[in-house]
Amino acid sequence: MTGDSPGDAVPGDAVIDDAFVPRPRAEVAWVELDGEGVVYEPRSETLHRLNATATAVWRGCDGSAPVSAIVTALVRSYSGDAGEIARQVREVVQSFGALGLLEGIEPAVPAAPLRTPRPYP
Amino acid sequence: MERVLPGSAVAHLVWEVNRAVADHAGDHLLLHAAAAERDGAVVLLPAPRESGKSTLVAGLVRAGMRYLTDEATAVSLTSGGVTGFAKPIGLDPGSWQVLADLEPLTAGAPAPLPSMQWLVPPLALRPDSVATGGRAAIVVLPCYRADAPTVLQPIPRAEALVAMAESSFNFHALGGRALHALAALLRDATCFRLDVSDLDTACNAISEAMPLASREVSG
Repeated sequence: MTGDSPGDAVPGDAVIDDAFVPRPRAEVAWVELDGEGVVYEPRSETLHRLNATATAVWRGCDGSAPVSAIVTALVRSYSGDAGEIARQVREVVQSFGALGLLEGIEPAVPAAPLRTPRPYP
Repeated sequence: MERVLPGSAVAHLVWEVNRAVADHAGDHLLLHAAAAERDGAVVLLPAPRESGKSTLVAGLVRAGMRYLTDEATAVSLTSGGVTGFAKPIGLDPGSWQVLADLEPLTAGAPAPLPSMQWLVPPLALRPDSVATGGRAAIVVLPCYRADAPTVLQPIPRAEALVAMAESSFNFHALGGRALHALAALLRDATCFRLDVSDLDTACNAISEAMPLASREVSG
């Protein structure tokens, strides 16, 4: 897994730091239900259910703004310690990268595939 | 040539029919889920094997709902409509006591071995006991727990989505389309987790949840 400070090296070509512009991989699909995101990563056939904070961060990972701008937006939106919010945002983006959800970042560890039923007894 | 017991032959035939249905799903997401309908509103019961799906749906149909399936439910990727595979309801020995009144309805079907299932033709319950489809109004994740109280507990839609994906036969083949179809279905549905130890209590709880869910769908 990646560390929790900006600028940590992650597997793949890119480095996730404040200047990194997170963009979902083209094949990744996601939906939002009642403020909770569910992200599907087809290469590993894995679903990720995001909590409210991670969902807010994921919304910002649309390829239009760097991590620093996502941090700024969420510090404005949430009450609490700005430094702590910034730390959490960076950590969540690092996690998205480690899970293979972001363009240019290879997953740190293979995700456990979605369990599916055997169709027939 | 190997001699095959009649009960085994029936089980194999049902297996083959199930496979044929799954193989021809087309533009549908197939869920390992039981389903019943009332007034066009469907209760979906996605769950792994041995969770009590068939027992529960048999109880719901016996209580007045209409049968869609005890095994495989298809969700249209285009319309979101739900259809069922109305095969005979397969009841394991563990549920024979609580559904003993259904045993006479298996008359005419091959007699099961002691370790096998009753196969109850759904139309034998009532002439109008089988529905063709509907819209999902509630999604219930059932789990049989013999030593726990029967409780219907609301859960987040995202939790239900993950469970439904895990219960799908072809989610990965359909990928993002399946994810969006499930999300669309769930936005119009109310979701619950159900611990079942008493069948009648469980059926009453679902029945009471259905009209409320239907009002939410239409409102």
